[in-house]
Amino acid sequence: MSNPTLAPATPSGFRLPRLQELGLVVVVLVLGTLLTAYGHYHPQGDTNSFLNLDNLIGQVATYMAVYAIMAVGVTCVIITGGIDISVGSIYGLSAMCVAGVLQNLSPETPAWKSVSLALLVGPGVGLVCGLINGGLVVALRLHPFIVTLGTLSIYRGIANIMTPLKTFPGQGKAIPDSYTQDFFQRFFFESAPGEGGVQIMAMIFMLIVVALGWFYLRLMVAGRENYAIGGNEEAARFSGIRVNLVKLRVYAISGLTAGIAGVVSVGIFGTASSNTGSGYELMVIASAVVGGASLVGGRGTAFGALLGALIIRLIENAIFITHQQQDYNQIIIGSAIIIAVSLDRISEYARERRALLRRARKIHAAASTNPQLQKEPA
Amino acid sequence: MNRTSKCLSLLAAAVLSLGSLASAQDKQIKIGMVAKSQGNAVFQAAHAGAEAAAKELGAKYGATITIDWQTPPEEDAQKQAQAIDALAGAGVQGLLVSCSNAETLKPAIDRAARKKIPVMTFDSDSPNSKRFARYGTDDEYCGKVEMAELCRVLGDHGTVAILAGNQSAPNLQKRVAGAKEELAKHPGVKLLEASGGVFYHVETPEEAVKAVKSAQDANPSITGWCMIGGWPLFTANALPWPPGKVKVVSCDALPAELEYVKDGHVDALYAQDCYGWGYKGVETLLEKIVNNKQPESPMITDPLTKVTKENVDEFSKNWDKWLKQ
Repeated sequence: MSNPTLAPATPSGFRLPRLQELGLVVVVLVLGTLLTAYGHYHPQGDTNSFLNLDNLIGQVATYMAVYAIMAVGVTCVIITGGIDISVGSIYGLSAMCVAGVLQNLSPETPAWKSVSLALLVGPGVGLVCGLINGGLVVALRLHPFIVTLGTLSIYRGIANIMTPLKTFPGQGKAIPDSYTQDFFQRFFFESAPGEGGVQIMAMIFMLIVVALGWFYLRLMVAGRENYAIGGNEEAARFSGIRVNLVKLRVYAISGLTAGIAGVVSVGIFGTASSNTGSGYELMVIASAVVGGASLVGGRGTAFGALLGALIIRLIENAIFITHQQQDYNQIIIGSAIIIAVSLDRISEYARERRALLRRARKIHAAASTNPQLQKEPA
Repeated sequence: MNRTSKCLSLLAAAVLSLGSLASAQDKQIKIGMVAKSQGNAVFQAAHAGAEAAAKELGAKYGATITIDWQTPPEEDAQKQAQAIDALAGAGVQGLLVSCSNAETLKPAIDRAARKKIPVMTFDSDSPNSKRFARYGTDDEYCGKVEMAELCRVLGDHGTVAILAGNQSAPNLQKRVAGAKEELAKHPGVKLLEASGGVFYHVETPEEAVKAVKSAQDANPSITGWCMIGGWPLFTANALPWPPGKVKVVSCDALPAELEYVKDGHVDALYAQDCYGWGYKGVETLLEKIVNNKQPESPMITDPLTKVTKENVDEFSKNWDKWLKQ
């Protein structure tokens, strides 16, 4: 609840990232350095097993993309003091709709057409789901956890009944290669035709969404209104902010980003099934929280969401690189969330202490220079 | 050549041969293994099989073989794809995969193949991918042998029902088709008319138990069950009738299922070669990696072991070995 004001809405003057994001950057650098050192001593052939394009883009950036994209949307919700636990289901439903539509296209459909159609369907479905979430939260005045718990089940149920085969594309059908192999799974920087190279499209989608999220939250009045509501909802209401509209908007944005993530997912995997994204809400909320979003509202950034997702993915990548079994994955990630939130609370407490001390020193200094204040009443 | 130079030559030859032996032993082959989920005993057995093959076949192929087991805790095809990519990036020489979703894993398998890493599937296949071989059950045959055995224990007379799991799973559809095809050869045995004689359910032990109990209560005329998957038998007391009253033949032979054979509730189980999925899978991969040798057929069929009261104790010893590793 650090900053309920709308002050930094203007783009005047570039400011360094906040201390908390710098802390996250340091964590990323430390993790990266440790893994680089490990990769140096355990190379693959003559290549560092961590510090190579295939790993950094193919393993880390590509697979964190869907989490990071959704984390940007969920961060917007969390900043207002809300929560959206239905993102995994919206992601799955959007992916099912995208795959369901694309499977009916001709195999020769060009990329511009298939990608445009997917970008219409996926985010469209996500937006509708998000508007429903926001509408229910605002209209029924229910706790967002309860609303999104209900819609989590409803959206997953819809995905389940979409097709008896529970998966798209259905038998005998396929998503056009122009969408998968020629676009999302296209190899760049090949060493020779058909050899080497990395797939970068998922990462590009992620960076675009993070940039848009950063612009919205940092430079637009609409974005700053989220912080005001999260900081103090009543104060925000009295200052003229249309709280209900802002809430509706953030849930819509959360649904929209889940829809975009669904588009990317179908591109990466070439398929969607009724359990796509099942349980992903936990990873997404974890990314947002590790990235500095405060569950009581008023704090969080798009860049932080990206860093949160990156830290979680680096931990997962470390488990693979060091050949540990995935049993440890959940334990390590769960611990990372608790440590991140604890550190956040400690740094917040220290910041408050410092501010109090500064204020006390100022009062003391003012008192020592003002003889009138030195006269203590009897 | 004088004696000294002869001795020196022999010594040099011995050193060279020792050196080449040492380099052969120093050869490292790492095989990545990605099963559907860690919690399932059949995949634990497959893992044990792969580890045993790595130990036993090292000398034959002159290499130290290690298995990098990267199986998600629960079924998640996207996590499997991540694991395949990570293993391929980590420089494994071969991959052994059981696919939770054939199409979801296709791009990851193809990316590994692009890196010249041979990929073999076991149990669940990804037929459109660039995997070079698959070891698993012939599902139609599985349905056929189960139904043939059920008809035999029924004395070719009675009314049977089929427990069929998920209606949309292609492998289960094939097993049901095989069972029905076999049933047509036994005119004295009828398929239950209600519900077409085939009962589908969500593939959890609890839902399977509910399906069996509801069907049996509603249709007491059922005298035999052909279970094309052993789901209800993973729980205790799933069959609420005295042993032998209703004949049961089922697929799989996991430890919990064996108890039903021992107490006479189940007449026969058809065990998939889950230990062999790992053992034979590693062996086939090593032939491909070391000798660049393809299997005779890309589809290697699981023989299915019949488990009855006669051999159940012997068979259950396998699990002691498979789950210990």
